[in-house]
Amino acid sequence: MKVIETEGLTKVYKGGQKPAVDSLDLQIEGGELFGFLGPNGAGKSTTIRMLMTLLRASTGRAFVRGYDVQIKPLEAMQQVGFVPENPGFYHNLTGRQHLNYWAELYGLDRPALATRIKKLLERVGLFEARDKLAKDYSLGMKRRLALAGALLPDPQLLILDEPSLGLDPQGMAFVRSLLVELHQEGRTIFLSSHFLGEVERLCTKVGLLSKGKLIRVDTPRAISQSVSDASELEIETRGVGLTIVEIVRKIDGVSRVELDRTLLRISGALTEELIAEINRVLIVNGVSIISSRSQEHSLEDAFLSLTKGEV
Amino acid sequence: MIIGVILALAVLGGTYAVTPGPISPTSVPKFVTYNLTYYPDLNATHPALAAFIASPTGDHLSGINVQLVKETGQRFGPTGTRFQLLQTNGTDSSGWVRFNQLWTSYPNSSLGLVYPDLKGSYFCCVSTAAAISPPYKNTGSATWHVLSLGDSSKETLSLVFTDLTGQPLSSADVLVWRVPNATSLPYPLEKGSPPDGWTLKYKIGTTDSSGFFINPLPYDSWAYLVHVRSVGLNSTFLFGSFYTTPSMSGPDTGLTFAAVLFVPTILPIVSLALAYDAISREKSEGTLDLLLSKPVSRLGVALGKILGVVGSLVVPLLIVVFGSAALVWGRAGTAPTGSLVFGLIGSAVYLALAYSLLFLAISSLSRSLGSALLSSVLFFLMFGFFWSLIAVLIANLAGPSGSVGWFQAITIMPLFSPTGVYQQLLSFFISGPVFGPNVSTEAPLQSPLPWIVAAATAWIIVPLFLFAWAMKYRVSQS
Repeated sequence: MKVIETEGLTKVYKGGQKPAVDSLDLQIEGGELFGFLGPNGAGKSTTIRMLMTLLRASTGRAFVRGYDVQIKPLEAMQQVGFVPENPGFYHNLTGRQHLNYWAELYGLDRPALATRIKKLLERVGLFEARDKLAKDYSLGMKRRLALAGALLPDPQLLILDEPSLGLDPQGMAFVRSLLVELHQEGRTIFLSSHFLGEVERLCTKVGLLSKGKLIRVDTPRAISQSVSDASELEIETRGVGLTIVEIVRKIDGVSRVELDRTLLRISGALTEELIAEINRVLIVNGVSIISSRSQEHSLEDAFLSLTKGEV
Repeated sequence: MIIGVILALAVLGGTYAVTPGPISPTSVPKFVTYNLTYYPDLNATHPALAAFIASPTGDHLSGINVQLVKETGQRFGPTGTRFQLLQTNGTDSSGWVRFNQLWTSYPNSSLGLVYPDLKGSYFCCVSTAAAISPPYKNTGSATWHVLSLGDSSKETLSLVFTDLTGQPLSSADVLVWRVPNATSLPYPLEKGSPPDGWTLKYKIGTTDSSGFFINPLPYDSWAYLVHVRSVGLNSTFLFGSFYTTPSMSGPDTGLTFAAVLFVPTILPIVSLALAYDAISREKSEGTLDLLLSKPVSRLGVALGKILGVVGSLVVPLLIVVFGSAALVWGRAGTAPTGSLVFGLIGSAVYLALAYSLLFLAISSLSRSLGSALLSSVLFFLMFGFFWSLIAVLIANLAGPSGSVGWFQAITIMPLFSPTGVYQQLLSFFISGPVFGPNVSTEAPLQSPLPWIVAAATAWIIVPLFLFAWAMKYRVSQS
C-alpha cells in the first residue's frame, strides 16, 4: 500500500519566479524508512509542509494513507506523527502537559492516556523531566518531546523534518536508534535530513530532490553505485613499470590510472567484472599483488554528483 | 491575570466611588429667573434689560430684588465679581422687573443683572457702548428654562414669551413636536416645523397674562422642537437633546459611569492583550505547525481561540458588573435599574466580542508578532480614542455645525467604530442628564435602531469572516 503519494505536486510561492517544488511524483510504500534528500532550498520542507496540510499546493495532489490532504485533511492527519524542522513549545507548559494537550487534539481516550504518556516519556528519555517547563528543556529534549508527541496516536506513518538537526552526537545516536526501533515495529518513516551518513545507514530508500524536482528514487546502495565513475581501486604491488600502467589504462571502463611508488590507484566504472579483469591483466603481466582495496562510493559522493555540487 | 484583577478592582472601586449615598430630594431652587434684552422703542437704539421671576412651580413672585450692575473690571464684593451696583428694583405683582433708559443713564457700559437671593447669580450683558441700527422688526422672543422640580431624571419646560419691545405676549399658543431622530432636525432650527406644520394637535397650552407658561408634565430625555406663537409673532427653539446622559443621582450613577467611561476603555485594552498574539505568537514560536498538523479543523482552532479570548473577557466582566451592581446597591440603598444592568452586560459583551474578533483577525493576518501588536494598538487608538474627533472632522466637512448634513454625519460616524456602536447600544439603557462628577461625558447622538443593529452585526460578521478566512486560507497556507 502506498502510504504517501503525490501527483504532479507543485508549489510556487507568491512572488517566486521558479517553483519551489516542481511536478513532484512520489510514491512511498508502507514499511519503508524513506530518506528525503536535497540541498538547501531544494524543496524538502515545502513538500513536507504540503503533505502535512501546512501549505496549500499550487497544483497537483498529495495523498497520505490514501486521503487527499486538501479534501480530507483530518482523516489524513489522524494517523500521522509529525515533527517539524523547528518544533515550537508553549513556555508555560511542562513536557507532560504538552503531551496531554496534543492528546486532546488527537481525541485520544482519557482512561489509557496517562499510561500511554508515561510510556512515551520513558521511551524518549524524558520521564524524569516530565514536569519541567518545556522552555527549560535542551534542544535535544525538545526534539524528543516532539517525537513523543508524534507517537501519541501510535501512528503507522511518521513524517520527520530534519529530526537530528542541531543535536549533539549522543542526541543524534539516540534519535537514530529510536528510528530503527520504530521502523522495526513496522512503521513507515519519511524523513528529510542533511546528514547523508545517517540516511545511508538508516534508510531503505532515498529520494533525491534538486531544484524542486525529484531526480532519483532508489536504495542508498543503488544510488551510490549509479555514480561509480568516481570510485577507486587501490592495489599494492611489489613494483610495477610504466608499461603496466599503460596496459591497465587501456582496459575498457578504466578512466584514470596513477602510480605512487608501488601503489596503483585506478578510477573508473569499477564493477565486479572490471575489477576481476584488472586483476587478471596484472597477473598475466607478472605483477605481484600484495593487497587490493576498492573504495566504495558513499551516498555523499552520489549526492554531490547528482546535484552537481549544488548547495 | 494580575493585570486583569487590578483592572477589575479599579472598575469596582471607581463604580463605588462615583455612586452617591442614599437619595436625598434634589434641592429645588427658590425661584427661576427669565432674563431678557429688549428694545422699548423700536425706532430708537436703546436696549433695555428685564427679568421675570417665578417659583419653580409656576407662581409669579413679586418683591424679589434684582440689581442692575455695571462691569467695572475691579473686584467687587466677596465673590470677587467685578461689578458696580447701579440700581436695585423689586419685581412687580406680575413677576416682572424692568430697567429702562440704560443708554442715557449708563452710556459706554456693559450692564447686567444680579440676583442677590440666588447667591448673586448674574445675567450678562447688554452694551450701551454703540448705537444699534434701527428700525427693528417686532419679532417674538421666548426665554425658556428646563426645570427639574425635585427629580433630576424628569425635566419640564417653562418659558416667558414677549415681543421685541419686551411686552409679555399673553394667550400665546405653545406647541411641541418630538423630533423623531437627529437627522430629522431642521436647519435652521427657528424655521423648523413638523412635517405636517404647526397644527393645533401639537398645542400643549397657552401663556398667561405675564407671557409665562409652565408645562405640567415632565418630558423624557429627548429633543423637542418648541414653537410659541401669538398674533403675527412666533418663536421656535430646541428643548432637550439627543444627548442621552446618565443620571448622577441614585444607584444608577456608578454603573452608568462605569458603562460610559470604564468599559469602553478597559474592555478593548484587555481584548487586545488577549487576542493580538493568539495566532501571531503561535506562528512566530512554531507551535502553530504542531497544532495545525493534528487532526483538528482550522475553523475549529479559530472557534477555540474565539471562545478562549471572549470567555476570558466575559466571565470577569459578568463578575465585575454584578459586583458593581451589588456595591452600588449597598452604597445607594436601592437597587440599580435592571434594564441598565442587563443593557450594560449586553452592550459590553458585544464590545468584547467585536474587539476580540477584530484583534484575532489582525493576529491571523499579520506576518509577525510585532506587526500584529502594532496594528492592534493603532486600531484600538483609532476606534477607542480618536474616532469622535474624526467624526466631528467629517461632520464639519459634511456641513456647518447643526445642519442636516452635519447631523447626519455625526450620527452615522459612530457606527463605523465598535466603541461607537457600543455607545449607541448603551444609549437605549441610559437616561437622564449627562454630566458626572468632575467629568462631562456624552453619549453620541442616537442613530436609528436598524442602522445600529446593522452596524453591530457588521462589526461581528466582518472580523469573524476575515479571521475564519485567514485561518483557512492564509495561516500556514501560503
